[in-house]
Amino acid sequence: MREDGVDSRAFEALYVGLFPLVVRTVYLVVLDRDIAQEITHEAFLRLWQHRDRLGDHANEKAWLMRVAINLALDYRRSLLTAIRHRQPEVPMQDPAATAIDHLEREEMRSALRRLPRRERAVLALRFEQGLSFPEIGQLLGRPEPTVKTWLHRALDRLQRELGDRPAPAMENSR
Amino acid sequence: MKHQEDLVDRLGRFYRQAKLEVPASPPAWIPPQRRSRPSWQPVLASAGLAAVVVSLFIAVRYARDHQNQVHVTASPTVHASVVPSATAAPSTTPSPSPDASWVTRRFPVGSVSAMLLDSSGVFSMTGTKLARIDRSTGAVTTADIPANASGMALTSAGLWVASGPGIAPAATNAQWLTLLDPVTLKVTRQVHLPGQPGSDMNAGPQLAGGNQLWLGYGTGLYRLNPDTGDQLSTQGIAGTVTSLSIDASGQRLYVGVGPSQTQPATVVEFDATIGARLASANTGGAGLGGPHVAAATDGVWVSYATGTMGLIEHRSAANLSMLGSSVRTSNTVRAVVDAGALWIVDGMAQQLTCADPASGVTRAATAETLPSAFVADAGGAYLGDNTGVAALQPPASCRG
Repeated sequence: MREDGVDSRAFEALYVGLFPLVVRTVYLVVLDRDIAQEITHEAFLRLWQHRDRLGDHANEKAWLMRVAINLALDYRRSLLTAIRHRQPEVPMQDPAATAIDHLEREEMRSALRRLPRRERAVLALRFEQGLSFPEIGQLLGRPEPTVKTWLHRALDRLQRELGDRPAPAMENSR
Repeated sequence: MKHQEDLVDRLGRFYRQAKLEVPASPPAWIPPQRRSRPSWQPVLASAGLAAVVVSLFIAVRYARDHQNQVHVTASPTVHASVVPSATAAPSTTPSPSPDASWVTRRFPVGSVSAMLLDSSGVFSMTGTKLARIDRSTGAVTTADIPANASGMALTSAGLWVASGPGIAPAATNAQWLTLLDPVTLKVTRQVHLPGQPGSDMNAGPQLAGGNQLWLGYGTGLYRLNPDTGDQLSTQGIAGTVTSLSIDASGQRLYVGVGPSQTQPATVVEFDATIGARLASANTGGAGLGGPHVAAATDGVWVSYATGTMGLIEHRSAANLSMLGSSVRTSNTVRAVVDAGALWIVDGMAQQLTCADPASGVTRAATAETLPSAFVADAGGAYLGDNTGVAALQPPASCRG
């Protein structure tokens, strides 16, 4: 068994290194900043609790990502979170963003919200993290053909949700 | 096709912006500490406790004042007691003295993932080690077991341990059913597990013993010869088996099952004598280790994580319908039915609670650091945590 001090330091390094990736991925599934942070914290807590049971050569990143994504897929809003979210979430202000960018972003956010979380997860893992189909399958515990099916279904649905229209920015650029 | 390329471009732009909407650096990591309570529940409990103490103080004063007037000879009792809840659902309210330790002795054998006991020893899994604590002398014997062991069961042949591939890719040379002498822990037999792991990485092979030996592994339920481990029969399960529990009479076997592509997590009841499926019901725990089952005399207690909390359900033996409503706990909850009580092991709340196994009404509770496993019989109670095993002396009220 690893010594406690070494273990804690190693864990902290892992936490600092992987937190941005995990919270970003979870956020793209749940589309809520506070919930994403809550789930990310829970995933790291589980990693901490299981640290002795993961072998020396365990892939902690894969383990953590899989737990975090599963938590995000299965998340149900708790009472405390609901209280914290009495006010609708206001996206952070980006002074450089133009009105068209903002419109496009909110339109996409709204369309993604209407997709099942599983499909949001596949889209984020594929197009935000650039993972291969086998890698996504490994994370979601599903075979590669299933992942491909989900991705195609997600893109079709997203296209429909967006009204099958090109983005405003695209129209402007033509 | 062009539309799809545009769509992916647009999605990429959204993702680049979305990156800025979450913090790039984490809040400080504070490892869970002993007695730390991550939720507001203990605050309310403390406030409630303070209110009880104040009320009792007032009551005592009032009674003493009136004692002089009406010459009542019996003095009032000043110890607090848990008021039974009217609800049939379990109440995880802490006892009046949640910090009064029940621990009589600690055995630092390492972080415990599973426990079992017989009349002479307590067995605990700690990574690739199995420890046996002699219940009379306290002597500890340890032995190596295959990595990723997750299931244990006792039969007349000895102690069976099942181990799967863990989070590594499935390999048949990592999937073992090992029989050990329950006193010396020497390996007396080892056979390959039948079947393959399921899609749920948290679900290793599960065992239930007694007069029979059952194995739940991947999407299969196997009846094994309790002496040799040889397969006697098998049947498919729609989902990955995450836990097994057989009732004290050996008549009913409960199986916790993770979700499949076509159905959510379920709990399934079998006639353990013939292996016939009796009932099934949807439950929770999908993707989070699945449901954990604990057979009781009138049915089964099911515990599982939802992601942000844990839930406990009491289900009827007749048809697995809910008896009372489910109760919120933390994510790392495990319900265990042993020695005439329901024991709620709540890792994140750092609490062990004993309750009535029929109604779930709390009898007593104690604070413990990261409890993970629990076993008890008429002769004693033992708790596993992240440092080892603790022998407990729960209050008599726990046993009903």
